[in-house]
Amino acid sequence: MNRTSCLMGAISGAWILVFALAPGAAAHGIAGNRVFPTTLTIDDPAVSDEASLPTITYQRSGATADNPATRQANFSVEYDKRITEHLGVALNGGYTITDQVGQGSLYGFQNFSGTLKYQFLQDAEHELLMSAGVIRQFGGTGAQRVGADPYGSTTPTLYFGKGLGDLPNSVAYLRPFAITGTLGYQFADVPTQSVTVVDPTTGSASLQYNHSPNQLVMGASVQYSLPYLQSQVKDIGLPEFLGRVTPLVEFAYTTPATRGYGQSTQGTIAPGLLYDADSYQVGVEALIPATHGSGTNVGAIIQLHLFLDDIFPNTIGKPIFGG
Amino acid sequence: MRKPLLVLLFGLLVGLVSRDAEAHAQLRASDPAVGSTVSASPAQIRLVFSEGIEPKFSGVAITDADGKTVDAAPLALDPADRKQVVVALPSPLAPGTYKVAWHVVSVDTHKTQGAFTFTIKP
Repeated sequence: MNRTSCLMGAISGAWILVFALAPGAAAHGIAGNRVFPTTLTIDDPAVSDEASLPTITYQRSGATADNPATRQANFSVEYDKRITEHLGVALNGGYTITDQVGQGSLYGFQNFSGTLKYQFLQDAEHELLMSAGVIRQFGGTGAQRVGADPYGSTTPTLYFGKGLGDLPNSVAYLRPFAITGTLGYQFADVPTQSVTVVDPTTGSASLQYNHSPNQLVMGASVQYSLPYLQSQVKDIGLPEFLGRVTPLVEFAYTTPATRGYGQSTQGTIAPGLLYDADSYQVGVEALIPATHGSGTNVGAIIQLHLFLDDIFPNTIGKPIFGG
Repeated sequence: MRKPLLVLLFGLLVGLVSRDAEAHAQLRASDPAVGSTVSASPAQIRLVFSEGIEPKFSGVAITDADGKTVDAAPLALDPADRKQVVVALPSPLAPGTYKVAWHVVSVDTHKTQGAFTFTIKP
């Protein structure tokens, strides 16, 4: 593998979770007394009219034998639109800047992606939401120099969210907890690509194979809702600001589901805080590598998320049909 | 060229989020307070929401520890503040734990609901 390929591989690895999981990473939902806030690194179990504008991710990676150390920033946007009350689409795009220490910088768009999602279960009594969707990454729409795959992928995904509000009174302080999760299987459009590589010194040509195995894409979040604590369990007199905060930890993993050809499990653990205002949410999380293949440096993600159904309730904030 | 564009985008965002948006109505406070213990029966239950409420499409149900519904007047909007609703209790409540289950429609038609308990000391 030549140096450029190595660098592209490294960049791809660094962003694989962001772009495997981030498509559709929006849409807060309500089930009974529970409001599920918008998580940053995994998708929510609901459909809605919202926009993430923007989500900014920052990560560093150390130098290796083949690659310089890098600092990477990604600016992405997402638009979520309900077609009906329970059927929605999401469109995602992102722009990446990679500073290579001691060398030039790389700029470019990531692949665009879209999600079609149907919320098929909403159980108010048990604060349970479930949805099924398909994420389509459009290969070749982004720049390969920043790790965008020239080929696309399709990921059928299941989503769930469960609040613990139905716990008994004896453990009332556990009721503000909620868990959400996603489980998807990513089918690569082209599992194996052959590339002819010419050695610049000898002039001899050889075939090089790049492999894109199918991936199992998993995510989960554990949340403790201070708004829920204040309004449903016990008013402990928190200041207005704190009463709108939800501490949480998100977990995001991808692992090859077919022969990995050297690709390993990648994952992040993202502890952080979500602040919910009336018409927007601000989220901040650390991105902690969870596996060997995910690097060693801690990154960060910050997001401004707009609730379009609250900002424009009578126009773009309602479903196209049945709103 | 990029700087004016960024300033424009930032201004648009600030304008969007700072306008008087009509959001989902969330319970911000109540009297008696959520999860509290009080020494005597309140004369009314007051709920304070984050948004204005449409009383015709909203309601409050109060039940005792056995799940029996307590007599209460229909929900009424505070004439001085559309974000506050009041449910009068025509007769004092006996000591015990009571559940207040509410559902409201905010002025922009978003529906929300919730429930909490309070206790009256013997």
